[in-house]
Amino acid sequence: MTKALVTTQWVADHLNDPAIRIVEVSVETSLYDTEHLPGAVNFSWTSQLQDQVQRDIITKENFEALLSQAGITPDMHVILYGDNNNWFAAYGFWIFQYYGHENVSLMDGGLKKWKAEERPMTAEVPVYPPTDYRVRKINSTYRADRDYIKARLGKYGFEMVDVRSPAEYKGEIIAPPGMTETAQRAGHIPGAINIPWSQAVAEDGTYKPKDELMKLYGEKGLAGNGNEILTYCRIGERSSHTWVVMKYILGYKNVRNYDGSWTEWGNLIGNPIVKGEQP
Amino acid sequence: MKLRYLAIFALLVSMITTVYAQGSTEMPEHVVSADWLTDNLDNPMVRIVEVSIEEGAYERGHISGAVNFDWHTDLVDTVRRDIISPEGFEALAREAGINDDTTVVLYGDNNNWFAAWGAWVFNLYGAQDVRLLNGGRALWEAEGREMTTDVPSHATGDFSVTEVNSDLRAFLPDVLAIVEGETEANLIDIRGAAEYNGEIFAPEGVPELAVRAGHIPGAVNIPWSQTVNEDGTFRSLDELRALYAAAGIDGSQPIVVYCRIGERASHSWFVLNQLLGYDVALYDGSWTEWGNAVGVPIENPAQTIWGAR
Repeated sequence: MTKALVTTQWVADHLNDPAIRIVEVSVETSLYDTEHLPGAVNFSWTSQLQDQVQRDIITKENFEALLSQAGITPDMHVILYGDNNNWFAAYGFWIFQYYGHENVSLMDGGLKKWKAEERPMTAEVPVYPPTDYRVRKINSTYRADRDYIKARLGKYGFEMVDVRSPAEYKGEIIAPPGMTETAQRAGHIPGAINIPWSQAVAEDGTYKPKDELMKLYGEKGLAGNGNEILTYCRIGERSSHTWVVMKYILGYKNVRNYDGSWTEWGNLIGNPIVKGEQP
Repeated sequence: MKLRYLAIFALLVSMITTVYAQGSTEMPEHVVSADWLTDNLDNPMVRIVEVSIEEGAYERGHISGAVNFDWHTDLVDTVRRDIISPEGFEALAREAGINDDTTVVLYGDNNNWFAAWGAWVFNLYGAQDVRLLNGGRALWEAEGREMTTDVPSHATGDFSVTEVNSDLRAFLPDVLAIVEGETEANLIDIRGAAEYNGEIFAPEGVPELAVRAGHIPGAVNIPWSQTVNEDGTFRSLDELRALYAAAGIDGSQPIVVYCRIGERASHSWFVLNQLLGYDVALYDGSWTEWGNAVGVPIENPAQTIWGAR
C-alpha cells in the first residue's frame, strides 16, 4: 500500500520524478496562481472536486476528465498538498481514494511546512500531455450519507467523531467565526464524541506520531476494535483530515467520511440532534 | 342511476362555481378585515394571536387582548429542526385560552409571514376556525387603530389536537418524488427571482444558510409579493387565480410551495389553500434543507458557486 503520508523532504527529492504528479488543493484556490510547488497542478475544491450544480462530490466522469487533463494515469503516484493544514488536500485525498486511486499521498505538513523550510516555489504552470484516465473501482464504503447514519444511530458498534471545535459541537455557535452559518440548528449528531481535528496535528502542521494519536483517540474510546467509525464536521473537509488519521495512520478498517456533515444534518427536518457536552 | 349522479354532480359544480364567482370580490372567512376585528375585540369566541419576527414588536404595543407566540421558541422545536410537537402545541394553545370552538385570528409584522406560518400550524393540528388579519400589523398601525401594552391573561382553554392534517406538509422525500416524476404536482418557489435564479443564496441581510444556490428542478417562480396589494392586503381572488393560472397552476393537481426557511411560503400556502381552495402542502424544509442535502438535484441558472472567490 502506498504510504498515505510523505515528507516534504521526500517530495523535494522527487520533484523531477515522472512517475509522480503533485496536486495543490487549497481553500484559497487562487494561491496557486501566485506560486506553487514546481510541477504542481491546481485542483479547485469549489469548482472541480465538487459537483458544479447539485450538492455532491465530483461525478465519476468529471473526475476522469479532471485527471486526464492533468496528465494523470491510474498508476501514477499522486501527491496532494494545500494550505490550512491540508484540510482540502485531505478532502482531495478522500476523493482520490473514493474513486479508487489508491496510489495517493498527502505531503505531511502541507504548504505551511514546505514554505517554512524555504523550499522551491514557482509561478510556472506546467503542461502535461493529457491522458485518458478511467476510474477502475469506487470505494463506496469510504463515504456515508444521511440515511446510512440515521439507520445506525444508537446502535452498538457505531461510533461518530465530530471534529469541529467544542463551541460548534456544544451548539454555542453554528459555524466558526467569520464563516457563513450554513445550518438552522446548532449542536451535534446524537452519540458523536468531540475530538477537534487540530488535536491530531503538531505545531509544524504535520500529523502527530502514531503512538500519540493512538492515545488521543483510544482515550476517547475509539480503539478501532472493528467498530464502524464515522467522521464529520461542517462541510466535510476537516473531517477528511481526521478520516486520514483514523484510516491510514491508525489503520482502522471501517471508517467513513460524512461529507454532508453539519450543513446537511443540521438543516434536515426532524433529524435528532443534541446540544451541550453530552454525546 | 348514473344519470342521477351526473345530475347531482352538475348541480354541485354549478353551486361551487357560483360561490366562487360571488366570492371573487370578497375575501373568504379565513381573512378578516381590521373593521371586523375591531368589532370583535371583546368577542369571547375570538382569540387574537400575534406572531411577529421583529424583537419587541408585541411588547411595544399589540392589538387589545392579543397573546404573543414567538416563532423561534413557541412554534418550532427549539432543538431539532422541526415544527412544534402536537403535545407542545396543545399546551401552547390552551395556555393562550384557546378552546376547540375558538375563532383564532392571527396577525404579525413582516406582511403576516410568520402569522401565516402560525395559521399553517393551527390548520395542521386541526384547529377548526383559523383566520388571518388582512394587512397584518402594518396596516393596523398605519390606520392608527388602537394598540395596548397590557398583556392579557386568559383562562386556560381546552383545545386538543385530535388529528394532524399531514396533507398540509411536504417532506424532502415527497418533493424528491415530484422532481423525479413519480408524483404529479406543481412546485412553486415563492422566493425572489434572484434567489430562484441562483444569483444569491439569501435575501440581503439574511444569513446564507445553504451551500448551494438555485431552485428545485421544475419549480415555477411566483414570488409571494405578487399576491398582495401595496397596503399588504391580499389581492382579489380573481387576480390571485389569474396570477397562478398564468403560470399554469389552476388547482387541478396538488401543489407544493417552498421558500428559504418556510415562512414566506406559508403566506403563499395561505393564499392558495385558504383563499383559492387548492390542494397545497408547505415544504417547510425549503431551500435550507434542499440546497444542503447531498445528492438531490437542483437547477442553478446563474451558476453561482458557494465558497468560490
